[in-house]
Amino acid sequence: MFRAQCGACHGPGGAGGAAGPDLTTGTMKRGNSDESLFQIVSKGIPGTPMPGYGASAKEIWQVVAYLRTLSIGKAAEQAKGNVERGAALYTQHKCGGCHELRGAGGWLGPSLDNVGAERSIGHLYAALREPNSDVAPQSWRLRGKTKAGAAVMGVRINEDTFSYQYRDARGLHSVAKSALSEAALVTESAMPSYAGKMTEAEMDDLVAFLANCRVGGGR
Amino acid sequence: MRLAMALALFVQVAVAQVTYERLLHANKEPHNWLTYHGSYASQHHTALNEITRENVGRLKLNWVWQGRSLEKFEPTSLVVDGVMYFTEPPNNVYAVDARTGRVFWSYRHVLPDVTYACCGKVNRGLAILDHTLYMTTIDAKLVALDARTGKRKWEKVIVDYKQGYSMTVAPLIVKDKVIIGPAGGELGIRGFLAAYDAKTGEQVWRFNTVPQPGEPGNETWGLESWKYGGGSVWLTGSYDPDLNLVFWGIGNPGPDWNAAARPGDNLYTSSVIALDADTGKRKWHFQFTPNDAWDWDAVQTPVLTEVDARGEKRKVILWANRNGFFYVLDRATGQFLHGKAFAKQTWAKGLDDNGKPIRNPDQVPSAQGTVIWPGVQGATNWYAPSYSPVTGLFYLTAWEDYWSTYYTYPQQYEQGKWYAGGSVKAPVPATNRDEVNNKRAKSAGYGAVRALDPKTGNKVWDFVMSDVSDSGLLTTATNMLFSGNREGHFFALDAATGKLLWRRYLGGQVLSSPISYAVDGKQYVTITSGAAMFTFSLHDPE
Ligand code: HEC
Ligand code: HEC
Repeated sequence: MFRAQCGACHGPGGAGGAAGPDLTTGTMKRGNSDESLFQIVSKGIPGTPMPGYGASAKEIWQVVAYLRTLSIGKAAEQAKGNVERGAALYTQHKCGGCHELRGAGGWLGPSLDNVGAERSIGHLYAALREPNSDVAPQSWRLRGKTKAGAAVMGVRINEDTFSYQYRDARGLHSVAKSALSEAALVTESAMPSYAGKMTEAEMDDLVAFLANCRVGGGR
Repeated sequence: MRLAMALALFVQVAVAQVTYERLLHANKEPHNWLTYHGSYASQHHTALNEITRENVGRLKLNWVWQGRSLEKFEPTSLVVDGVMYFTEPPNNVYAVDARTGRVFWSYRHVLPDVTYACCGKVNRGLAILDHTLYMTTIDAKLVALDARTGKRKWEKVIVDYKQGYSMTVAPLIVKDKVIIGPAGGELGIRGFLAAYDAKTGEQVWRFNTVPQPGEPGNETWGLESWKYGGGSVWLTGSYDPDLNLVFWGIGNPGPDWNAAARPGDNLYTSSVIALDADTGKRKWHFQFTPNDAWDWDAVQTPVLTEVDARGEKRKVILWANRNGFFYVLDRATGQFLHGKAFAKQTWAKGLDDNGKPIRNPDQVPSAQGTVIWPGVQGATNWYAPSYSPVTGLFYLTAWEDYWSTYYTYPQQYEQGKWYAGGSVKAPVPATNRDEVNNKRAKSAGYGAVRALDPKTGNKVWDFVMSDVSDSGLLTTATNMLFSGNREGHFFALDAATGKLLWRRYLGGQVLSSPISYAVDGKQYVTITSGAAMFTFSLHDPE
């Protein structure tokens, strides 16, 4: 679909063409989330030549997935910051309190071992600037209390009518709903926004560091 | 590097990890099942004692895990501090709550369309070290997963699967190494046992189970037959930390039924090998079936214990072999102490003083077919036996009075093709997973859970079944024995007498070995049946 419908404007490989911008940079200026890409492809961008496509939701999602692949794996070459300085910022801001990297760190957040290979550069910026923009349900947290008074807090990884499964710093847990006196799902990100907590140049450095977090070096 | 130093400053959150120290002393935490065989001594015995001969009537179902795979379901689970980890064939991994069966995470390994497993795309289970789970795959890779998230850490190609290799074995962790080997004895592979660095997957040592030219043992392969000699590895071995030796049973030589194509003993096929765990150097070997002509892989669990033999207490390996004989070996030297047939066999007149079979020359495969006991699946096979330190008895699943007609024909090796040099007809199917259906003639033999006295090899009792069984065994500190069978039953016997104490019909063939564990002080027993896994515990009387 991409080559036939989009290639004329965006170029056959999506790297920009006669009538449409480069889609491989990993930073979509109209919005980086899957949801906003879905809207752009299905409805178009009013007031611009970008048309909307009346395809089925399934097909649109396939295009969104394809758009993601255009920029995946390129973050390291696209990053403009300094990796060494980024590593120091990673330590300074205690990112390791929540993220595991090379065998060390916490695990409230996802492991960052391969984040440079798996994510686009736009996604990395967005994760730091606006972590709340696109929190996937697998990152929602269970916050509750058992009838015995113990606090329950962790990433909700599964749920059914009778129980929650969650993980916290101690491991994997299953708790019966009947054993809880309070339970709520927290859909905001556990990760604070770093917008304003560092300069733009520092943000570039940190993203350059993340972009180079890849299993087995470069792939 | 500066980067690495910066990362090292992070505060490590204290999560209970499965250290090597814990694996070494697995018997100090009977509430867990930390290795494939439960402990390095591989006794398949639990010290848990909540379930007893008196209260077993209150054993009831807690949960069922439903698999989706149509492949044979052969895993033994690991249980670590309330979390159960296991594989579903071909190579999916699950972490579930051991009390409720609720899934924490799953991992799917995608296989190429064409692979070369001889006998189903099966997998027998996982190993764990620190926070990492290890699995071998049908396309001959070693995969490392984060036990907390199910995310892949790395995977390594171990050997080119297109040359007939596959991997089904649950890895064994010793110190900082992951020990594994390949299957493919029916596809002309050349086997090996090898150790990989648990952190990186880099190979540390490798021992060729079919020696190459220049290596000792290569002279036991006439006619250049070492090239496609088999010697597969598909069941986890045992480890003696005092001797620092791993003990491992090696598969049959290839081509399976045409022994004339490979004159000589064909070391180290159908043997047990003892290797230094740090270097992979061979300390000793003992060959059960020299120049094996029947496909009798020595792929059984090396059970480690101490018994009186030849007048003194010895550190031994107990071994009921597929060839129908029970052996007691000194595990420091490999010396044969004594042995005896444990089921009907016609291929040997007995064992000599060194444990070598005295063969019946006419009991070999032939062009017109020869009827031989035991049949091709052996008088026992890979499913776990058990040793109970309480009764001092050795228990196994036996196929009694079971035979096959063995045929041989000449065959040239072709890459990726079945290379067996013959065929077999057996009165009992190898496995029977589609339906639980038994219409055999009585003359086809039968299955039994059998207790042997390891001091003599004599039979102490038999629990006779209608059909044969591919289920392993578990004994308990409370003098019980759990097993399942091909008929779809899961049952408990009195380990002292073999008397039936309890049973449940689960409706699917049992193709694994039971385990026991405890969470919050409550004891559970788990078994697979069909494509599902069932967990039981004591319930209060209603
Ligand atoms: C007629 C030319 C044309 C075609 C055909 C076209 N686009 Fe566009 N597209 C544009 C233009 C022009 C823009 C820039 C609009 C703006 O932001 O001013 C754009 C913007 C976009 C953006 C947002 C980029 C950003 O940085 O935010 C996405 C995503 C996109 N297009 C995807 C597609 C896909 C997918 C297809 C095919 C299904 C497609 N486009 C077909 C012209 C086109
Ligand atoms: C309080 C815990 C916490 C801290 C501190 C934290 N994060 Fe996160 N982070 C999370 C969680 C939870 C997620 C999961 C997704 C979400 O909530 O948005 C996440 C997501 C991410 C992602 C996206 C990963 C992906 O695969 O989509 C990146 C990148 C990231 N964090 C980087 C950082 C960096 C760099 C720092 C330090 C500057 C940091 N985080 C600090 C909790 C944290």
